[in-house]
Amino acid sequence: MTNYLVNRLFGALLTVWVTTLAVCFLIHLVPGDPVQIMYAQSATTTPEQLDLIRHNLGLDRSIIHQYVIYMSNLLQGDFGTTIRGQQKVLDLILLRLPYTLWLTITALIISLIIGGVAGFFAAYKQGQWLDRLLMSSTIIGISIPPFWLGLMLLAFFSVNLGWFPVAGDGWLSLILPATTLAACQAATIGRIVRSTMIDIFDQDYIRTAYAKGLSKPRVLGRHALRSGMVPIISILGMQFAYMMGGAIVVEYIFSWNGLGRLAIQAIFQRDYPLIQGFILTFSFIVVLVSVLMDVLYAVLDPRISRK
Amino acid sequence: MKAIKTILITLACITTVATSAKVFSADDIIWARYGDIDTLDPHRSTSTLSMQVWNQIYEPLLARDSEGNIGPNLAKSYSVSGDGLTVSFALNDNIKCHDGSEFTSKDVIFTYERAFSTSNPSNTKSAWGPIKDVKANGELAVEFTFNTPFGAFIPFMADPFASMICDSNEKLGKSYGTTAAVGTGAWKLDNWVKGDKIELSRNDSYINLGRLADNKGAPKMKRLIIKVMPEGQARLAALQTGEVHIAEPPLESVDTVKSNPKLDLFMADNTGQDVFFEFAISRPPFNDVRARQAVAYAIDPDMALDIVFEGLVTREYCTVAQGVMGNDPDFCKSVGYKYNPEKAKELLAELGYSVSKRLEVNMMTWTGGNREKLLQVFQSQLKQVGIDAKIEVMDIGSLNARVKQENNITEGPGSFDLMGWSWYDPDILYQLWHSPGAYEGYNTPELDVLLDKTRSTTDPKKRLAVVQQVQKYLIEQAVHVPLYTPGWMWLYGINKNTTGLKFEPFNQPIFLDVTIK
Amino acid sequence: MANELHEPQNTNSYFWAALGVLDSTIKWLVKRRFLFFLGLLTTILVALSLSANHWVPFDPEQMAAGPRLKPPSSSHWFGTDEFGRDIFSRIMVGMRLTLQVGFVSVCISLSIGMTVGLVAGYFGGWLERLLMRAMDVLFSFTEILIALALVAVLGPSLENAMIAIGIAAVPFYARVCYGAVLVERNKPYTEAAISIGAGHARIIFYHLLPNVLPTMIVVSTIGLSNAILAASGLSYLGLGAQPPSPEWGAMLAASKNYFQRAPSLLFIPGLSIMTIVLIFNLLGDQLRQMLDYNDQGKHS
Repeated sequence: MTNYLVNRLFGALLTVWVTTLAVCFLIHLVPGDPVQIMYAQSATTTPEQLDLIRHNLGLDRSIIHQYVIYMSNLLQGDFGTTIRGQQKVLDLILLRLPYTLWLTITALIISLIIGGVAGFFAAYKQGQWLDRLLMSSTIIGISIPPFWLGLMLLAFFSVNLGWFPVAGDGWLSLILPATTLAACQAATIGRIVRSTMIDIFDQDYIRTAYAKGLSKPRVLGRHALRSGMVPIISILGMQFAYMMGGAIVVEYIFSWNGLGRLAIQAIFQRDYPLIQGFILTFSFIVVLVSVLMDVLYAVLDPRISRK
Repeated sequence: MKAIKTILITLACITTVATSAKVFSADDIIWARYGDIDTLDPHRSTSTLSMQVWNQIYEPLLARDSEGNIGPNLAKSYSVSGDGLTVSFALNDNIKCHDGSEFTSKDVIFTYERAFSTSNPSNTKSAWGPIKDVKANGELAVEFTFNTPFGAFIPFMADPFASMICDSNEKLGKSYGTTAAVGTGAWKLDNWVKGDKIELSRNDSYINLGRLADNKGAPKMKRLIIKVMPEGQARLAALQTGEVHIAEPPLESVDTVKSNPKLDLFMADNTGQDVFFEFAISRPPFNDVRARQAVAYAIDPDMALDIVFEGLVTREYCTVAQGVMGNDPDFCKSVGYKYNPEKAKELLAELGYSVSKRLEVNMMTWTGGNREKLLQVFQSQLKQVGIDAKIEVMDIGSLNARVKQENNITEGPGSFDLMGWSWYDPDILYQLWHSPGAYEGYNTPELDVLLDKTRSTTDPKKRLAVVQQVQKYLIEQAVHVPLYTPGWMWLYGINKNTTGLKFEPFNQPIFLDVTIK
Repeated sequence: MANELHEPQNTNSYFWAALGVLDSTIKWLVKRRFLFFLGLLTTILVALSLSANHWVPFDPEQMAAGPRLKPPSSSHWFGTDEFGRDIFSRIMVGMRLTLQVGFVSVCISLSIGMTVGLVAGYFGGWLERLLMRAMDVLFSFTEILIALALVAVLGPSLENAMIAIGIAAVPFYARVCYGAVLVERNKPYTEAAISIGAGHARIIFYHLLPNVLPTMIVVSTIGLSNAILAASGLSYLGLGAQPPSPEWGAMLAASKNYFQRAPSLLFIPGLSIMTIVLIFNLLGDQLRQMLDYNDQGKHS
């Protein structure tokens, strides 16, 4: 178990480290002079000030030196300052991160419930009309462009019917974006749950449980479900990552005040410090959740811990 | 699984409670706009978005009435010497800055010296004119001496760019303009959450000495919240639900606002806004007048404006907008460019370009106001003559900086931009086109001489003649190609429960009389 | 005498052999009729889109081709957009862009991903560990982040979006290829090839690659639909196709302001994207089923 954990932790740290490398040098991919482009956004910088900025960012020194400066700042909690508005990047990110997490987690829960229930019943009634109906709707589900679905929900329920606010901060404004995010992932989860459950229903121990005389709900609820959960956990980390990615576009459509919307604005404004901070934070969260899920999986599946 | 669920639900509950607390109360005026201010410092920006907010926090020495006549404000009177070289102001007594300190001639001198500082002058320094010296005659009198007479000085003293900055702002150091600002205006700065909102609260010791309002004292409402809502549909929805009292509706939804019984639509006229094309002249192709003229001939502004604005704006032929001295549509039309793609192609051919050997350029503008759509129409018109224009849209602060940058680089594809300026006097032409110029762009010695004359000529008829000469020069050289007016923020959707909103000339809202039922 | 007996039989047997092949092909097509139908549909769509510029009724970029924001009518089958451009023409020309973007991205991901997968799977050792670790790291970035980051620095354009999506999907293709190579590596024919002294290149290109290819093709079809979704998403945000390009995602972005006045602006581009993506998803699904059948002798 410890071996496994250490392995995972090492992998996670490696990923985070490579992220810092990538983010630090991302700025070199910019065609042209990055400092000039960055500070084109700031109305009052003289060439002397630009040179000073270049020096502070270490761009006039060797690559190693740049990275050292960048990392030392990072470890002190200095993610840099935004170009527009001169705010501390870390402050801005921490302000908006909870909204994104709120959206993603809600959507994840919704998709788990819908996908789980649908997949379960599809497996239970395998081959029958319910199964076929649910499975064909999942193919449609993964084919719908999520931004189109979001736009249509917005147009119909917010603008047309007025049931939900067009923009806002509370639970009511969360419903549509969360539904959009959940819809596309629910299809994937449904398929996975279905195939997992089909395998489990086939297993000997289920048949034994029935033979013992246990009632259907008991068999399904206690035995099937419990062992079915474990494979789901293993993909949960990946689902979370996909959702975080999907949240970026969904936040933009619904004017949801999260990190994704901030990132899009940053990209349009060429606010590189903010973009760098966003990439770092996003990666870090995804890696963190992924490690947590792996740990949970190891705890729940004794086969892993015994390795 | 259960454990995760519990943790997640708790997290969600905490976040809900933390964020759903109602932040706005019934004594607030809530105004939503498409963008944010650049800064709280009147010397560091030129955007209307910023100006409208400065006008709440600060006061200028003079003010305009509804006809545009200049009258007293912080200064109770002024006098201009016979030779026009000295202007004296007598200040009102008992004016307090937001931090309690007295407003005196020291603050006026502080504002002037700050605008003229050699290390970091004001962005609108040239609008002050050729000032030689400023001195105080006691606590309540200030005297400005000029090198040459400058007629546009008095109107400038009524403008938000000439807002009086209390000298107590000096000790704020770097936080002045970014997190703090002290003025003498009707509203005090509480908080500026960048990109989100500005919270102002009533200045209880405010006395209205000349602003356009019946109320002679502090505002009736307690707070003024100015929110940033870039999405037009979101602003419209907020107006319809009553979440916001005043907002600019998206242009496509103007009819929706008009037909809504709970909303009023207000269209500010004579905003002084002129939207035009200008070019980066530091490099080919636009260092050649023929390339600029080719663009002017290639576009069909009437068709473009009709498609994009559906009658909500007016075609502007002059470099100074409707309502400003010098605006004469017939004259400007006679020296201007008519839609003529064949002529455009001829000019381009002279430069070596054709429909097969295409000219690639960058075309920029700032966000909002359907300007990107407008550029798309122009892009398709330019394509017909062989010009491939790539569209770039950015916020106004970025555009201002970028245009300056483009005027200084000597390599790269040609660049031109759709720019807008609003000013109450043709002196704007001096600010834009007299060397060094607001964007360090086009200037020539002949133009400088003409522009100097627009400042030094005091006789109105003679001045008008010189202004027309300047306009002719600019238009013939195709460095300032006028397109339309108004250009931004002239539409207001106002909730019927909000009464008393007034607009000073040139699109400056005043909230002193506002009450909300 | 021997000659007389041979000749008639020779010509006859070629004829019967050809007939036999035709017969089994038709039987196969009928059995796999859904797959056949999808394949035919795809071919038709590709042909239509490649020739789109020639047969569409209006110039997709011509403004004021008709009155603005009109619903579908006999003169404008899909209606007109906010500039008066014919939507049907734009959709058809846009289809070429959509397919092009998907195809190019997948080519990029496939070529890089398969290289990594083949090398890692075949050579093993430290190279395998290094490459797969690298893929893990890249994978945890999530595709959209990589794509966004690349477009952020390179600048918004359809070409950059294609490259960004192509690179972002590499870990996925690499992993699948790697897994498939591992399976093939353990099969007897690989051992046999090694034991007769075949060189690395020969084994990789002549033995491994052809056997890994079917899996990769299935994965590519699904990957194609993902690439199309990603590209339209980026264009929707304004980070992909730039105006006046008739790319479907960009068309959706413009529709946001006209919900009530012109709903067709919102439905049609989105429906088009969904249709193409659905076709490729179904195609991939059918191919996968066929593959499973071939490999394990049972339907899945």
